[in-house]
Amino acid sequence: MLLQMAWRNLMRNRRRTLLTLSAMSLGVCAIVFGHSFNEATWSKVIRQVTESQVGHLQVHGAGWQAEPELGNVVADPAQVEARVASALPGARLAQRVLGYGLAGTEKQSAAVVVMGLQPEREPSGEGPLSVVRGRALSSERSGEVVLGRSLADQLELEPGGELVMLGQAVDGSMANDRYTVAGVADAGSDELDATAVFLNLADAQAFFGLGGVHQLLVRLPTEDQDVSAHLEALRGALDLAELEGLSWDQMLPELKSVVDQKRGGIKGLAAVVFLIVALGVLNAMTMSTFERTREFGVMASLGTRRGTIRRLVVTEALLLGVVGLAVGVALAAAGIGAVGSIDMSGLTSSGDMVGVRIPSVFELRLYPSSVGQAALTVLLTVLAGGLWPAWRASRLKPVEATRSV
Amino acid sequence: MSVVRVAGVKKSYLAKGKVVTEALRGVDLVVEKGEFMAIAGPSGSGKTTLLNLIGALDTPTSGTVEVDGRDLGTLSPNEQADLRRDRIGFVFQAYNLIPVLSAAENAEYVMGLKRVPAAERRRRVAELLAQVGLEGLEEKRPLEMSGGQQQRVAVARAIAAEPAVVLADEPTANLDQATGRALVEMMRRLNRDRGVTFIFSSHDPMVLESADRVVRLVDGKVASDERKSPGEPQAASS
Ligand SMILES: Nc1ncnc2c1ncn2[C@@H]1O[C@H](COP(=O)(O)OP(=O)(O)O)[C@@H](O)[C@H]1O
Ligand SMILES: [Mg+2]
Repeated sequence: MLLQMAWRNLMRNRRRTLLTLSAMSLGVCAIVFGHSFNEATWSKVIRQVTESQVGHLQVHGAGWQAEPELGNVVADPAQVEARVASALPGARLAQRVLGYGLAGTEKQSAAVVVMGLQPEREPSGEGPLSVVRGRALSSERSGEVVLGRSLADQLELEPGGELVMLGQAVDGSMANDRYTVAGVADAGSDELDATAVFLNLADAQAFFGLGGVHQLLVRLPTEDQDVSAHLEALRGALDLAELEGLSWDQMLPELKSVVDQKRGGIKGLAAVVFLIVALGVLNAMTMSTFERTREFGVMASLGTRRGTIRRLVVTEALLLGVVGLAVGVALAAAGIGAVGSIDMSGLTSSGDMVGVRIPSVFELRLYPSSVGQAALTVLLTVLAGGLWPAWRASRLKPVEATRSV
Repeated sequence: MSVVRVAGVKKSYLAKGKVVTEALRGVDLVVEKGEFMAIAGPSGSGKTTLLNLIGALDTPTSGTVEVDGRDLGTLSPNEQADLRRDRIGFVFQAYNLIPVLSAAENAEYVMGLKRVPAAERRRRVAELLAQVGLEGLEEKRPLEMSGGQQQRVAVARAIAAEPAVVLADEPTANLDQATGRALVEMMRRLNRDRGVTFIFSSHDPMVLESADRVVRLVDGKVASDERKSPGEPQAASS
């Protein structure tokens, strides 16, 4: 009965209801669209980072993240892998070695980051495996390297060329070796492009004279960006006196804070929508309850409790919200479907942000969290716009409301 | 048994904290179950004020009002609302139906508040609307009905939940003579057939004629209280 009365009351002044609804639907559409756009960008960035660069989680020797010393290794990676695999079923694991050195040809030389990895366990076609010229790294010891592309330019090296690397081995002795360039890669960030030399893990271990590995990457079978539960499970499986377990957002706090900040931007949009639409709802509900002063008086005289009158008006506001939300989400879904994927390469110089390449093309989709954000905003909007008129209507004195006019 | 008991009631209206009108200046009144009583008096004599006090729509400045033995002054807003719902029926001068509800839904309204089951509500409303001569208009909205028809729906709504007393403030004032007369005759019939207690105000002599008892207010005081002696002819009933 309340719901029916609320609906009919909304239909009494169709023009006003339609006006309020269009404002609300547009607001919802803007929030959903903006939020989806945001999510599409950032989830792609994070996916890229976790897939090709750091994984979702990593295991290091204790303290390595803060102070990456060459000798601080995961000494028995096979044993740690077994534990991690049983704590996090379905996770994909990969080992890496990370050090520094000097790379040179007869003419040029450069300070480089030396990364040893297991190509067969890294996602193919991404990061070091995203070869733009030549071949990818072999999964065996081969004496071959893949170079980041700006580094290759700087050293004037092409696949087939030769390069000498110098460095310090873990025992303090001089490390040096000669390698053949197998390929040149789009390494995933400007920094890596300019500095990275990728080797097979075993080649890197031999170069540095290392027994263990520096990083054990854990890639989780999840789209979820919040991996704190997984992190807990990981840490539970580790001997924390010897080892440390970290998540991507702990390893890349700047990225995390940029993402959070960009996500916060949508809250700003939501707040603006909230303000405008809440004022509209307040205005519409105030007018409509004011016009019905007499009617509320009659309802009160008939024995309707104040709470019931309040509920009627709040129900009207909520109905507005539900319809506005539905229409707005439908509009946004249609818009997202029509747009499909967005290519931003013409708009922004596809640069890096805190060491991560921002994708220029990404696929829009309707995220449940976008609808959630819009629903929350609508709820706050209709409550902000509806509660006061509802309260006012319920406090009307029946005598004053029903006095003959 | 008395349904309404008004004792020593005064009512002043204030504006900016100052008394501007003494609408009632000490009224005593007892109304028994089954009465068909009119409150008469010129405009401004306090009829509406008195009915509002009896209906718990307003509170007296001094004195007490009891309905069904309950002192209204002791009730919380929710208790007052429940008392109106359960014990009092209202008919106002005009525009007192809920516009978004049909005739039948309006008549059901108070029963709905009392959580009478839907089937029972429907049965009673069908019977009542027939009794007030509105068969076939059940689904009409107030705006689609004439003033007389609307007042009949209001009367049906007032008595549907079987209140102890129906208060009607100038129910015929907005109706033409014939329609007003028919409405009062209908109320009279409901009073006789169902024993519903009616208190209505009017300054129309023809309407007053049909009452068993006429309390006349002048300047906020009871000037006279006349009962028709048995045998005196009553208003014509159809
Ligand atoms: N809310 C009010 N504020 C001030 N004066 C009022 C108010 N309601 C009624 N009055 C005054 O009280 C007196 C009695 O009014 P009312 O009870 O409406 O009389 P009646 O219904 O007999 O015409 C009148 O003088 C009227 O002007
Ligand atoms: Mg009056």
